[in-house]
Amino acid sequence: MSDTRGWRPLRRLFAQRKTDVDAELAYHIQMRTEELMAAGRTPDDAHAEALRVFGNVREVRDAVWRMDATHNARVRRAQRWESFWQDVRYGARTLRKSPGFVAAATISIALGIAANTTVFSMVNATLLRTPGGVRADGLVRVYQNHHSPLSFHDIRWFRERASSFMQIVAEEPLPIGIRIGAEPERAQAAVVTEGFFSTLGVRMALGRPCSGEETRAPGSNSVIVLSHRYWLHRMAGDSSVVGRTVHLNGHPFTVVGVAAPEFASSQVGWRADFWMPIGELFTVRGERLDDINWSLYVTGRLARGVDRAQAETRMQTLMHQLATDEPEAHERMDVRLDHVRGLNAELRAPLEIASGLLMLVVMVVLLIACANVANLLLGRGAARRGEVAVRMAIGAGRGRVVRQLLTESVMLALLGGALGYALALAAVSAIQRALPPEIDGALQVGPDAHVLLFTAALALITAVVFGLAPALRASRLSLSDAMRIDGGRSGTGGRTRTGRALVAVQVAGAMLLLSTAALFTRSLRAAAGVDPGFDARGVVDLAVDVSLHPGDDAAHLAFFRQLAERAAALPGVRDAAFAAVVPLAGSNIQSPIELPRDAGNAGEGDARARMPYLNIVSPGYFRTLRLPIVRGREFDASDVRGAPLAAIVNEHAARTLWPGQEPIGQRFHFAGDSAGDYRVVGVARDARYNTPGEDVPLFIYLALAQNPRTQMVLHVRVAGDGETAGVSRALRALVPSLDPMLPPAQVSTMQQDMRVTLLPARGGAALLGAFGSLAMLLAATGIFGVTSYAVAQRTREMGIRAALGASSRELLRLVIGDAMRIVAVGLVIGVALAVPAGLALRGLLYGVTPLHPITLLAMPAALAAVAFFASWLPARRGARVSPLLAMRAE
Amino acid sequence: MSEQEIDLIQGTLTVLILRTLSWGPMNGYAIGRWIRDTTDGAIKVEEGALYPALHRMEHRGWIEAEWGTTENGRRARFYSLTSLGRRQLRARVQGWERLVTAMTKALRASPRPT
Repeated sequence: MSDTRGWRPLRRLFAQRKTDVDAELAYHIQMRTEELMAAGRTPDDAHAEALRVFGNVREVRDAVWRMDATHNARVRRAQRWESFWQDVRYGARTLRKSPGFVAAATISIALGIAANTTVFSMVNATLLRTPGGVRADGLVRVYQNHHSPLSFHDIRWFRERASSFMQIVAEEPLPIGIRIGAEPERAQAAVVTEGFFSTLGVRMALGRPCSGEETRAPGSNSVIVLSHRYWLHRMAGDSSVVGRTVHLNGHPFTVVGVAAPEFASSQVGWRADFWMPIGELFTVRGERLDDINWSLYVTGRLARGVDRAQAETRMQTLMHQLATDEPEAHERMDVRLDHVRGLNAELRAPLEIASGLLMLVVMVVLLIACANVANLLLGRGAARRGEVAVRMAIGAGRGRVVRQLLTESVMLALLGGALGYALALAAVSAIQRALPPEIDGALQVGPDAHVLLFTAALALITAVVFGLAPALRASRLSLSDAMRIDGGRSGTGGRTRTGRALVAVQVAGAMLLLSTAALFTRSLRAAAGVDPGFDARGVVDLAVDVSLHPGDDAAHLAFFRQLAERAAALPGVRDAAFAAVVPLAGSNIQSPIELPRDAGNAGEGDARARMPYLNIVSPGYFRTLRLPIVRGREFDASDVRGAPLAAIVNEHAARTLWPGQEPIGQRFHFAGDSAGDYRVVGVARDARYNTPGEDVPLFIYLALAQNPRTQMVLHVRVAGDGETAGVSRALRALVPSLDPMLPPAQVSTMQQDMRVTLLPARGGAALLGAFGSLAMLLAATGIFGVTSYAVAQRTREMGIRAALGASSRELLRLVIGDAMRIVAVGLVIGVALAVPAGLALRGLLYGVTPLHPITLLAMPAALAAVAFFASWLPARRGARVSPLLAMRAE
Repeated sequence: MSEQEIDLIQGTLTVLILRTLSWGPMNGYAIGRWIRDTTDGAIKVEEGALYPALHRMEHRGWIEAEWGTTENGRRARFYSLTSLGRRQLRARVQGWERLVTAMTKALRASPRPT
């Protein structure tokens, strides 16, 4: 066999299949050599001739190897596919046979997945989506100081210098009065810079975009682009709208286009009814471009080949140059580039925490649902031991059996996932309907590919979570074990043990959610009872927008004064005063200030400490809200334009800004504001401004007459313990009686307005309560299932006990005691988890300690009661069993 | 003889293998030898070409292969016809005969009377 020796190293190198080919070819050559030798050739000659007539051995061998490899791969694929289909068909058949089980499992999974998908839809809408209708790749958001908008001056400055790597556009929302035909109304407009639509890549449904050339004189470019939604709702989708004239704050504008339906704004969470060139801000509001300070939200489109980090570095270089050129307005300013997913950076941070918590909560719910299904599967697994044993006896490997059982789990999970997705769609559309009208249309909460993918992935993971353990257990039986006569009895201890562990997990999860819900509820009550420092009871709020009222600031001020006087003269009204911001109602104004001593030693001190919240109020404000002035005076008729600029600060500001000094008479000015110094004329008592649980911030009140605005809220205090309804009616009629062209004002009570601040607590309490109850329900089902199973398993034992004289009461105690022991374990774990969870949530809770004893005792007690009931139902059945019957059940 | 060598038309080898195996299981070497002997060397197969053909036919399910022992005690891979292969053979033989008949007729035909 000398001729085959050369092959040997190869044989060792390659796998069996290859050596088979080698052996086959070697045999051929060997036989051929022998044949030639028999014909009289010498061995060497014969071997050479055999190789020659064979052709290229290596080529043939390689060709055959390749063919075999391809073929084998194809065969394996086909087999896998075939066995998969077999599993699916078999699974479908099995599941069809037990509709009750399928229904219970599917509903459990569906509830868990629906909760997750719903929450994820909201997360997706607020944190993950890019603005609709724009070409999002290559877009960035440009902020100064982490997450703040820019001034027009700076945008223009950057735009000229950054054009090589980034195009820059900006948008600023502003409410505006619009008149289409006869009816005036308020609309949400947005001013946009040059090239806004083309840079973002927004399609037009009709007409053309507004080009917004800023060099044109105000009034010469009076055009607007309508949003698709506004066009549909207000103009009934009239296709001849292009070229129509509408009036903005009384000035004629021409509609030149309608944007694509998907486009709402360059920012997620905003929605504009129409867009106008920024240069026309002067026409409608008298604002010059250089007056636009830090209110423009900037979007940039990176040039091809430039990434965000590179662009940011170059922008920072530019920023440095700007700060050197114009130091007074730009000291301590930096620039940052952000991605365009989700809401603005400043809103995103708190939302990320809340979303994370919420996702965690719904994951717990899903885990509990999984435990439920796993428990059901374990029960089934015990019932299917015979079947599995037969399959294994006829040669199915353990892997094959596990795969079959997992296929069933995946089918269940997909069924549950589909139902859950449908439920989530319903929930999301319900949430959408409940959204305030300003947000509606600005957030796209509807499902997209992300959500669908999330749900599908979740369903598959779920299948493994609940299906793997039961499948492994079911396949772990030995043949003799399963085939034993009383096979149904052996090994059940294991099933019960796992089942009990699962129930403990469920109880712990439910306990965690319910006690957290209780904390939120208590926090809500505590927050509602907090003293805000002023008296909101008996105050009616009237939101007034005079931007449609003809005339300048003086005319508007006169209008406000007249309105306040008329309101105060109404029967049943004690006081009335205007404010720009309603405290604890979800909005605020903030602006950095500088003290005279800061000049020359800039950089000293914490910048945050110079960032007070502001309110702009009319004389009588403090009296109206019963917010005491502790020093100095309240604003009065002397604080008018031309008089020294007056300010009232809160006690905290007085103490912080001028420690140990007399605050009255102190001076400060707003950073970058040319209006000059403000002089402190009074100190107001500290109050709550943004949230009931906040640390009191710096707060400054300015006089309306010195800081004119067009949108104000009139606080009206009702006399006595007054009824607000009658006053509300009278107030509603007041604005139209003064100027019939103004849109009707909104009337609400101040307490209604203040409810907004409690929304997070209210939402948290409601959601956690709902999810906690769901978890409790699922846990109760689990307890019921496990106890039923235990009763069934112990029928004989109980029969013997009954025969030996145990009363049914004792039997009940036996079974329930067993169940309650597991529940107790779950409760202990739940409480152990609830305490750190409560501590972690401390920032969101107001006036409650997470270690509140009543919460930590009441919730477990309630859960235990439910658990007791859930185990009592099946236990009762077991205790009633007649001894004779039970013994015969074998 | 050499001038009468016939080039192997594509598919011919397949028919020959099928035919050879119709007498019973055989290993690759024996198949080659059988073809050589029965065609008196008129059809020259490069012996190596046999093996890709055999494996392809095996993958198509026309023949099956199994390791076995030859009469002189050596291990060899034996091929045998499957029922699918038998059907193939029938169809191909018929096709071949039709072709031969047609070719013969065409080549022997006399010019048409005008």
